[in-house]
Amino acid sequence: MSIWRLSFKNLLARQAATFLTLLILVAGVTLGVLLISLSQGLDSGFRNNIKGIDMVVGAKGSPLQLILAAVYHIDNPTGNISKAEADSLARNPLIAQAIPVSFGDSYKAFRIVGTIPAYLALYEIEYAQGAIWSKAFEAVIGADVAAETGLGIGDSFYSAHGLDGLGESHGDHPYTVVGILQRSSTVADRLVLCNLQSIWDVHGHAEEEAETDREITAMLIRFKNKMGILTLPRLVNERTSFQAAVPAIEVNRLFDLLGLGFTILRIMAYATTILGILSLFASLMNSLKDRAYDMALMRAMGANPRQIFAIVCAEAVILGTIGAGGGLLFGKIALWVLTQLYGAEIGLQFTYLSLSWGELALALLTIVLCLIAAIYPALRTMKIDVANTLTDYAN
Amino acid sequence: MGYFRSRLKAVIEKSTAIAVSGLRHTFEGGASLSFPDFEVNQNEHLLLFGNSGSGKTTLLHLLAGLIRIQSGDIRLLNQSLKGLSQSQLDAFRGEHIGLVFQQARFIKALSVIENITIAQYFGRSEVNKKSALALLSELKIAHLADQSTAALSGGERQRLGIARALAVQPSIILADEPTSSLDDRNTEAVAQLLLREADAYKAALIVVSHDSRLRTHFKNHLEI
Repeated sequence: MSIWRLSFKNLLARQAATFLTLLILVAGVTLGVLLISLSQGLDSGFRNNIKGIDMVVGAKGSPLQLILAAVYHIDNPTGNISKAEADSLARNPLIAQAIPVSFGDSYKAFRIVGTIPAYLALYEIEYAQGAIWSKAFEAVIGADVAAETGLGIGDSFYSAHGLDGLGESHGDHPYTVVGILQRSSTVADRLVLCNLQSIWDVHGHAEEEAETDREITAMLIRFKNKMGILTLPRLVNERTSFQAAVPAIEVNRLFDLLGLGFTILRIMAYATTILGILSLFASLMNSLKDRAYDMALMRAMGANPRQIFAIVCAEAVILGTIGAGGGLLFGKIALWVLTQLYGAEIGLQFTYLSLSWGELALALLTIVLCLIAAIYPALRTMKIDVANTLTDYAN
Repeated sequence: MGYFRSRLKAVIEKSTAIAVSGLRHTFEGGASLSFPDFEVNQNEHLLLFGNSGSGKTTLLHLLAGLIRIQSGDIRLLNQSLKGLSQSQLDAFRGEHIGLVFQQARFIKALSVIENITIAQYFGRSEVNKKSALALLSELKIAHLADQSTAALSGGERQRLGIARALAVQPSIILADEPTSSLDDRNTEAVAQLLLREADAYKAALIVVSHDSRLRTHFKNHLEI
């Protein structure tokens, strides 16, 4: 028998109140874990995909749309631009690298993106099987594409017009899979990649068109140095027919838009946790009268007031610890489920296998708050008049 | 602690366990009680007899160190209670005094045997399940060891109450109206048990009661 065991037994003896408090604490910590991991996951997911892309050039329209379309491949493109004009912009001395992307077709809702090999280098992706294309209509597919369509090396498929997988099929130009990429947790996991020529050929005007009439959807640009960011976006927007969008700015804008959702989640997490702490406080205050005799008995058996104080505090710490532990567990389970259901679709990875410092801090904070909530009830319990309590209950 | 306890026991075997002198207590309302001087030796029994309102329970609480002494003094095992702080009183009570109450009540969250071991724990005595079980079988309630105390009958409760008081092998046993809620048969049994166990532990026993059925069991009476 020790203080901890006694406190644990006391909690078990008050099943209903203990269970209710625990339930609310677990819910609060679960929400907190979701909040931390979702915002971290979204943040790192979004920032992973803009590594090495300082600016995106495309047809005029919404800059956010351009970024969502050309970088994340979750929106429709703003239109096409002239490849020749884009190439001449790419020769600007402030630009280190310019990667053209051209898209508009899909296979089973996976986008087919015509680009150059440097696109793969951008995300530092390795091949699981095969290698890069050597000519038109050779395709390299992302890990999710391979897993979900069952396509393997040497298999061929036809692209469909449009990005939704419902468009008319381009029946005369089959693609052959020559490479399968390793999972990179970037947007490339869900793309079919080929050279630019393939895209032009599918749309059937390659031969009759002059080189100068060729179009691409967008160009992903990396600057040589910080000077680029100061001058180039303005230069492009003022002097060319394109628009320039800076991914870092647009992602921040997107997060500002998502911010309201996170604020609501945060308020809910705080409110629930505080409710749990209040429930603990109420439960301890409520049991004060019930337990006065128990505590007086313990004093009669030789317990000193400090031990009585410790028993009440230990109850709060036990509840807080189980609540925080349960919340972490349920939060991680929820993240695992979310990753299974939606992770691939939006290209996000949530950390359900490891604990972040934020999550540990949340758990610790919950335990400390529980302890603080116990201080007043513990003081009250400690100060009961032993002699009077023993007499009152005897008669 | 064990060594100290056994030395102490040897020294006080034949000596005065309880000595009350010039004890007065004034309640918050202004009512005041004064108690007669008396002494109880180790291995002796005393029945403090008085009607309700005579201050029996107050005297018992003073003896147990649950109420601070205002004037006069109580010496237990040659230790003046006046000189002890609240925590020292708690420690002294836990270690040397076994208390038996009128209504035997227990810690509801704990089983029968755990109510014994918790007394050992708070009495700074070694927590020993074996000796707790031996104590229960001495009082013929060993078969109830793992039950909830709520399931006990009145007689069983009173026996467990006595077992708890004996858990730390006390030098002094103080019983507050231990029989007033019991029928004649159980009163007889509890009185016998208290006297027998006090002898077995060589403890000084004080019973405060207004139950005249107890008079025949005690050689020494004191009216208050």
